[in-house]
Amino acid sequence: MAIASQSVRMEEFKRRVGGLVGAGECILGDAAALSSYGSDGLIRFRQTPEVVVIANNAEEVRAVVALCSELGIPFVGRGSGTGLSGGAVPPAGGVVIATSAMKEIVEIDPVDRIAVVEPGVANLAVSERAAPLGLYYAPDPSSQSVCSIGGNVAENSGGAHCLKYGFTTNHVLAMEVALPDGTLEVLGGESPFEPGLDLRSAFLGSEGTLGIVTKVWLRMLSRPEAVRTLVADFESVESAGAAVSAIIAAGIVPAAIEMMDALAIEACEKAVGAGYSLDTAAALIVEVDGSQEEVDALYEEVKSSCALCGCTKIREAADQAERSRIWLGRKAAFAAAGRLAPAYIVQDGVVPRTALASVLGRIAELATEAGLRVANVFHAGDGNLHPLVLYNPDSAEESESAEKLATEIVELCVEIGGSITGEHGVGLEKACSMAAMFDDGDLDVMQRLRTAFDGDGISNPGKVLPSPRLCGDVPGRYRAHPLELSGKAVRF
Amino acid sequence: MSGGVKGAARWLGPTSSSAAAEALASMEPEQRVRIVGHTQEAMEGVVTLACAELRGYEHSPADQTLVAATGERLGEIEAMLAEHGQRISVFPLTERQKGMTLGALLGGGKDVASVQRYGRLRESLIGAEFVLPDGTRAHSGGRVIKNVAGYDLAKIMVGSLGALAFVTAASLRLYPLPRRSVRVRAAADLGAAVALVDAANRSGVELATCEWGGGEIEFGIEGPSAAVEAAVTRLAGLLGKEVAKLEVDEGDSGAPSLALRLAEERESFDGILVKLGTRLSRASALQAEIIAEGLADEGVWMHSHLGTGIHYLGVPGPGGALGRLDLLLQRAGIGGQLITDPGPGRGSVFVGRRPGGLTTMRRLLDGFDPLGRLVSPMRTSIMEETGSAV
Repeated sequence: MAIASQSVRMEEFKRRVGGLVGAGECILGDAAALSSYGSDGLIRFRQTPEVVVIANNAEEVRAVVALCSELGIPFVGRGSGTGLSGGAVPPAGGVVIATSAMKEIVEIDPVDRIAVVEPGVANLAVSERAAPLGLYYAPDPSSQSVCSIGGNVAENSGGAHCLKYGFTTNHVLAMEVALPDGTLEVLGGESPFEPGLDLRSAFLGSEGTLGIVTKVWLRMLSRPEAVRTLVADFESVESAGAAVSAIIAAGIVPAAIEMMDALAIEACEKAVGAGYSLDTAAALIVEVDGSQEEVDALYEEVKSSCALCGCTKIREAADQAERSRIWLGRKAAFAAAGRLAPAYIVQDGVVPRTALASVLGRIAELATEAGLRVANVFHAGDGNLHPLVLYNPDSAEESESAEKLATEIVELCVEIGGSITGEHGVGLEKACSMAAMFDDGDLDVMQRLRTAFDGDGISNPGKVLPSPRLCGDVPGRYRAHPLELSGKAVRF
Repeated sequence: MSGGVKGAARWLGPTSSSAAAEALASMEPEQRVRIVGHTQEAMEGVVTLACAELRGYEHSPADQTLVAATGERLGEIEAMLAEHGQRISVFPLTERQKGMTLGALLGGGKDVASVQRYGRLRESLIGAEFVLPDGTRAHSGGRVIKNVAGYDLAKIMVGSLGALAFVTAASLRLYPLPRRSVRVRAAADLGAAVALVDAANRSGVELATCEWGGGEIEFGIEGPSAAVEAAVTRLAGLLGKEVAKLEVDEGDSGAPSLALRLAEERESFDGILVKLGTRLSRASALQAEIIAEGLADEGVWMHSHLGTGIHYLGVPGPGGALGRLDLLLQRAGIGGQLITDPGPGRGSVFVGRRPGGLTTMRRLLDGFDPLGRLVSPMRTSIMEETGSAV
């Protein structure tokens, strides 16, 4: 039997998909509308899809995936499109299956402390709905007001409070997923224990390469009785880093410890006026929560640790409004970087907590060598850096320098035993850097896992694992690939 | 590498990951292999590959991480970390568990009372090194507590019963030892216990452990002294007692906790143990169905890590009780797994509702172990459930 060409198969897909979800839910020929699904929050990677399908329920997702499987058409699931690694960029000649319309909070059970939600529900919406029951959903990425639970599952998202409470994987009991062969399965169960191999854990953080989430069972927590938040200023990032170590060494696990350097503080202040000191080299945001008695005890110890490490000023949130203002500044940091430069690259490397000060020093040296500015805002408690490499995109030379510097920073993290990504994911952006962390054996085994879920390689191909040829090429004008520059590859 | 031969059975104890890889790569393709912790028990015609002699660790107290070879004994890890005021997420340990290897804990997917506070071992497992049956060495994760690079292969090893790979090292997130730890016990049937857990959750008391069994409930409370004091007072209020009349043990009193007593009962039970998970609120209904089915009269009993909905059912065997329990759980839509050897005649360890994704599990086994070399009840079960040849 002759194998139909890709274009013939796509025409067949377009002819049949409307019957699965309704013609009004498909974007087929509207170039502008299709283009709006061409990238995620990392806009330097872009690929316009052939078709966008806006699914309304799990059966529609399953049916469209089954059609893709039958016709051999690549697809990507998409939530709110807020990812920062190019993970939701459509595959060339492929289909976007958007779950953004699947917004039902099916159930919140206050006794079992479980929420069952559709994947398009925004992260923050879960906590807002659960608030009257005294519950909340702990993972809190900075984009939590818009990012979706389905996207959080795909990326195993973190947030400022995951130091104490863990990541998405710690708060998802089970997921209903449309597997790439067009079947629906529930992975995991309604308690942390489920018989068999732990496919739930394999799927979490797989960046859409193993299928699409259609329903999620979330573990909810009781809202802490008390919360106290402070901002501590320091004369150097080294002394702020020492305070972080001192707090942890005292046996305290704060809900959050965030650090910002002077440049990041400047950006946040310009953007939202959170009340941070503009004359300090570094600041920590430290939050403790729990019972009133626990918070009372630990908060004073946190202040003492900061004082012992040379803290120059402590601002204590007097009430919820001030606490919100403090966090507003921190959570706006990425967007606020636009106040400092017309463009920036945000990285997401992780280092052992004890290496923070030395790594920040090295990043400063690399930035000086590159002639660029880097603002640092990061989750200090778990060593997750978010250096913001500032540059002018109108300058080709500066753009290339920025990309080179960003790559050097990530590779520096790996050199000292860290990771290329703590919460943003590998996506397209860092697939090329996977080889810095993992050898051929590691990548081979990951490929075996991927094949077990997706033997035909149609679910978000090109993400997570490096492709064999010139991995990491950015669409657009020609730029020599690092492998070409090193003489290890030739472009024909 | 240590090793021995008992008839047609061989026992290998590699001392390094590379030695394990060499041993596996050099075996005949059809050689079957069983992965164990430190058991010396041999199996005819099968090479027993033990992690017991993989020793050594790197502890980074300030980073609160531990990278340990899987032959390290849990009791030794516990004692070493305690000197630094730290612990792994798995506690309290029975004496038998203290002698267990880290590899056996990981591969067996064992849960203990601390699952209430820290979740299953997978939640604090931040990386692993392992060798596939064909000798391929690989790792995933690393030694930092936050990391989403690549697939989380480490977590799928937890509870895999040696069906996927020989795990040689594991990276764990560590936690500070609590400044004070107390246990509060009270008599409560399961219905009352569920109501108490719900009330405790609503009261703002953070529970470190929450165990139920034998008509008693035990709450573990940890934290700064004043916070623990206040939590005990609140629990007393929920229990309708004065603190002075409450059964309260300081964690360092040396008195055996209910959590340990129940764990030791399970260890010494000579019947069949079934582990299963439900919502908290379904626990009482499950128990009622077991009673209605007449299984309690036949000696079936129940223990729970109650706050998490993880339960154990003890089934005296042999007899028809297991089969009837299987049907009961299927009707109730509850999935369970045998955690003791059911003996000849039963291939699958799954009881009740079968887990989702069985076909994908079989493909995963095919990918990691295409020649089917690993002898594991998990492999046997998945193959049987999917109608595949073992």
